Amino acid sequence: MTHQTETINPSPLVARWQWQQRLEAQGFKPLLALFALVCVMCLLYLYQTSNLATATYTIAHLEATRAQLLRRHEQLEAEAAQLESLERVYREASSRLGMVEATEVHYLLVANLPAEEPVVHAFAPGRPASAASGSADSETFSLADIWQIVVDQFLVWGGLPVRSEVGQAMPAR
Amino acid sequence: MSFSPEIPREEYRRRWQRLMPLVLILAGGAVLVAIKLGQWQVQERRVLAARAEEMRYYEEIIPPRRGRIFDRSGHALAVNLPCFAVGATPRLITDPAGTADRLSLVLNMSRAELARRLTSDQAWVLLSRHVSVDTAERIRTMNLPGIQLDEESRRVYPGGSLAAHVVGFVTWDGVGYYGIEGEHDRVLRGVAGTVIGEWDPHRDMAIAGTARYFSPARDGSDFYLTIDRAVQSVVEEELERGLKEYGGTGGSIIVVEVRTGYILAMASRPTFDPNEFADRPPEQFVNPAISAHYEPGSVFKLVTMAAALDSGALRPEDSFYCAGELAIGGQILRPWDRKAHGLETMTEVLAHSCNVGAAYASTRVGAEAFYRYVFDFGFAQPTGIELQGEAKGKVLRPGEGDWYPINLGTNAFGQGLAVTPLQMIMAVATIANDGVRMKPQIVARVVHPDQQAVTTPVAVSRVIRPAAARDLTAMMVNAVEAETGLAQVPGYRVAGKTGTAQIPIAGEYDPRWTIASFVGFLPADDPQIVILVKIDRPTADQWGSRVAAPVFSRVARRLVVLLGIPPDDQR
Repeated sequence: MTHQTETINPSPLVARWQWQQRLEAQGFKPLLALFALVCVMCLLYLYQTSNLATATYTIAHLEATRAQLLRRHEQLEAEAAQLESLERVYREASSRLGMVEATEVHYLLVANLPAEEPVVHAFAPGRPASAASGSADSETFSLADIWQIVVDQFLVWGGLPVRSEVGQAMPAR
Repeated sequence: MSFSPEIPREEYRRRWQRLMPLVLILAGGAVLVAIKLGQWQVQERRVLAARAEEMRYYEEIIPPRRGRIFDRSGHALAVNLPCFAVGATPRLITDPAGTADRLSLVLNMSRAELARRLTSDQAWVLLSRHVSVDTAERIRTMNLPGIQLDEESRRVYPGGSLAAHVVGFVTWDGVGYYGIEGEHDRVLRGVAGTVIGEWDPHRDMAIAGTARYFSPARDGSDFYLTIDRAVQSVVEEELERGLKEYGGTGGSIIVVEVRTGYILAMASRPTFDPNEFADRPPEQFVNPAISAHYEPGSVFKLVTMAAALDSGALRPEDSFYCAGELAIGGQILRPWDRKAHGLETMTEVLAHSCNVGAAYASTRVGAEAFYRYVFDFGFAQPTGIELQGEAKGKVLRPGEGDWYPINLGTNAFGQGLAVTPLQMIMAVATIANDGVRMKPQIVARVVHPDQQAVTTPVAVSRVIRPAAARDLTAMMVNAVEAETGLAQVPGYRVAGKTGTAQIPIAGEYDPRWTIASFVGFLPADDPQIVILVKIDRPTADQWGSRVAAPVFSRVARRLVVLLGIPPDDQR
C-alpha cells in the first residue's frame, strides 16, 4: 500500500517565516519602542486622571469645610449681634454692673483748641458752587481728641514727653 | 489554528470548512454590531449625547449671601442666621411611623402631622423650615432614608422692634419688603451664581475640569445707615413713654442732623417686631413718618413767617392788629382761641400762634410767592429719602381745581394741606441750616464686595437768606421761652414751634381729636439737631404745647448728653 501524499509547496510559507524572522531581528525594536511610548503615555494619563480625581475630592472637601466655616461664622455673627443688642447691654449694665444713664456732662474748656470746621455748602456766601456737598472724611475733633489734648497738657506740666495721636514721642513744650 | 507547512492541503481545507459557519456567524454579528454602533454614533448621536449629558451635567445655583444692615457705628440691625429646611421624599421612606417618631422629638411637630406628610402621595414634601444648625445636625446623624436637609438662611433682627419701620423685613422666601429691606432689596439680595458641570451620582460634588459654565455668586452689599441705635433707642423709649402718659393712637419722632440732613432716628408707633412680621396685619407696614399725611397745624406758621421775612414783606418787629377775625376771599378766619390778640409784632404772632396774624402774613407775601416758598421748602413732593413708600403730600396752588382764596389764609397756619412728618422736619431743618435745604439721607454708606459708596451731604437749594433764617430762629426761641416752657432744655436755648392740628374727616374736622406736635432745634445759636414729635389723638390733653413739647424736651435732654452737645455757656 503506497501513500501518495501531496505536499504543499513550502516556498511562500518559508518566505513569510523568513520575513517574520527579519522583522523580529530588525523591525520589532521600533514597534516595541512605540508600544512602550504608548504605555508610558497611558500611565501618564492614568496618573493625571488619578491626580485630578484626588484634587477634585480635596477641593470638594475644602469647599465643604469652607461652607461649614462660613455657616459657623454667620451663626457666631448673629449670636454676637444678639449679645450686643442695646436691650441686653442696658440690662447687663444696670443689673450686673450697677451703671446708670448719664444725665449730665461736664465740659472742660480748653484754650486754643482748633475750632471744628463747619460743613459748608454751595449756597453759603463765598463758597464755590463746586463744593455743593461736603466731605464725610473732613477732619473733626471728637471727645477722645479733646481728652488727649487735656492729658497732653497734664503731661507737659509734669515734664513728661507728650505722645501725639500717631504714637510718636513729642518733646515737652 | 496554528499554521504549519507540514499540514496536508486536504486537512487544511477540511478545518476551514468546519470553521466557516462560526466565522460567518461572527462576521454577521460584527456587521450587526457595526450597524447598531453606526446608528447610535451617527443617526441618533445628538439625541443620545444630549440624554447622557442630561444625566451627568447639572446646573447648580449658588445662592448669594444677603447683605447686612448696620447703624452708623457698625452695630448690626439685620443679619443672617444659617438654618436648614427639612424635606422628605415619601416614596423613599421605608418606615414612615418610625421616621415620624424620631423626627417629632427634634422638629417640635406632632407625630401625627409628620406621619401624614411622610405618607403623602406627593413626590416631595416640606416638613419644616428655619431649623437650627444644631437640630439639623441631629437629624443628619439619624441617617433617615428619604429625609433631606437643604441649607437656607433666615433674617434676624437683633434689636427686635428697634427702628423696625426703617429697616423693614424679609419674607421667608428671601424677598425684602418695606423700609431699607424693600427699597434696596435688589442690592441687598446680591446675584446668584451658576455652575454647569459634571456631578457625581449623589450630586454632591462637581467633577473638576468638567465645568462648562461658571459664574460665581455675588453677595449682597452691606448697608450702614445714618441711624444711631442709641439715639433711636432713646427716641423710641420716649415716644412709648409719651404715648403712655398722654394717650394716643400712635405717633412719630424724627431726629435729623442739621448740617448734613442725616436722619439720626426715626421712630413711629404702632410698631412691630420684624422677626415676627408674619403675625402682623399688612396695613401696619406703613411708616407714618414718611407715608402718613397730616395737616401740620400751627407748625406750618414757620414756613409762612420764613416766606414773609425772606421776601421782605414783613420784619419780626412789624406789628399787626389782631381783631379776632380776618376776611379773606369773602370768608372769615378766626384765631384758635377765638380771642382778639390786639396789636402784636410778628414775633408775638408766632409766640401766640395767632392764626389771623399768620393769614395776614401770607396775604402780605402774596399767593404766588407764598406757594413758591412752600414748594421750595420741599412740600408736595417726595424728599427722596431711600425708604420704601414715601408719600409726597398735597398742597393746592392757585388755579388748581379746589383752590380758593381762603386757602391762602388757612394754609398759612397749616390747614387745608397735607404733609408728611419728614417734610415738616426737613423744612424746619432748612431754617436751622441758615436757609439751605438738605436732602434727608438715611444710608451712610454701602459696602459692596469690591468697593464702597460713601454718602455725602447733599444741599438741594437755598430757600431763604441766612439773615431771614436767623431772624426766624430768634422768633422761634422767643416762642419757646414765652409760651412753651415745657419744651425747654436747661442750659440750651431751644428754637421751636408747637402745632395742634385738627383731623379732617368727610368734609369737616373731627371735633374730638387732634394731632399734637412740636418741632424744634438746639442749640439755637449753633443748631446741631432738629427734633419733631407728633402724637396722634392724645387723650390726656389735646394741645401740642402740653403733649408734644414735654416729649421733645425729654428727648432733647437725653440726646445732648448722648451726642456730646455742650450747653450754651460751655461753648
